[in-house]
Amino acid sequence: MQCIINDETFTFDEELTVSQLLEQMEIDPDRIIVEHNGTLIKKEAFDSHIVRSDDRLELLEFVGGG
Amino acid sequence: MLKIGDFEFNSRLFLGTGKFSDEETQTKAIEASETEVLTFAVRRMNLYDKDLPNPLANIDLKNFTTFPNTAGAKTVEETVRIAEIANHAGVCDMIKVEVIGDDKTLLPDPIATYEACEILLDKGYTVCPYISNDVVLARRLEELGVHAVMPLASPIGTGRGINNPLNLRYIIEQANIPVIVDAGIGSPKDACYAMELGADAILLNTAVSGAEDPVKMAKAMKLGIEAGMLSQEAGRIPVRYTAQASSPAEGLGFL
Repeated sequence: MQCIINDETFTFDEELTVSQLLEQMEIDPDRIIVEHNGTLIKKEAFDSHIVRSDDRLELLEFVGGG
Repeated sequence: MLKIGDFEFNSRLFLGTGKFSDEETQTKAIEASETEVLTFAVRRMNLYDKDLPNPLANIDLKNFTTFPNTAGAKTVEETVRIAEIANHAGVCDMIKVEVIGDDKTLLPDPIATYEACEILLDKGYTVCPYISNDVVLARRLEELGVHAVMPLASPIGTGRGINNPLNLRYIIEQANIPVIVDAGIGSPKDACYAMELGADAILLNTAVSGAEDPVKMAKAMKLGIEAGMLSQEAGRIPVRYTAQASSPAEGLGFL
């Protein structure tokens, strides 16, 4: 399946949870904020929240700023 | 004691976390500043360089009052969205409403700032808008219900110090909410001057992170702000046009 992450197309073998997606992309879930189709996803829901084909994800983080 | 909404602070130095060269320097500078409030930003993750240094990732934000900014936002909608993201992540004790209206000067958009504040107040945020030295806007924002106003010293990152002390003083004199001078501070004398003018606190970033020795500068800023606050409380002497001798004019008959 294909989905759009930060405006770029990524391909995965099958539908997967947010946790699985982050694992496959080797992203530390502790430092990430996930927005799925415009809705912010709570960290507690990463294991159960399913990402499907054509979905849009924003992977955000906090950075230094003033 | 400084009160902003429900938050109380002993330190009057709020520190931004941008542009530190490395994590260790940032950590030591934060310690040296004795700040209780840290500011940071929300950005897309770099998916191709996930190991990109992110010094903030190693700071325990639970030990600080979190004060994310909405930097990068140019519209009301973008501003509210960034606030919602920070709040969702549980690190938005207070929100610095920053809506840039001009790419060259990075001066804020006053109308979008006002509208974004209105929405965020409705949603229950503790709202602190970054503004130009606009006396009327500061008053209107206070009437709207913001918890502090943050007039700039001079444009972001310029280190030019207090460009408009007169307007800053007008803003401070009329305000019944805290005034945090934000942006453009270059050295401790600027921070001290802002406090002498009557500011309640200072938010600065580049002046520390961009200094040759950020840790030493963090301490210098802390001391400058403390000196300015003591001076504010002590009440400085009036400025005079002519000299007035410090030594007695009498008792000079022996000369």
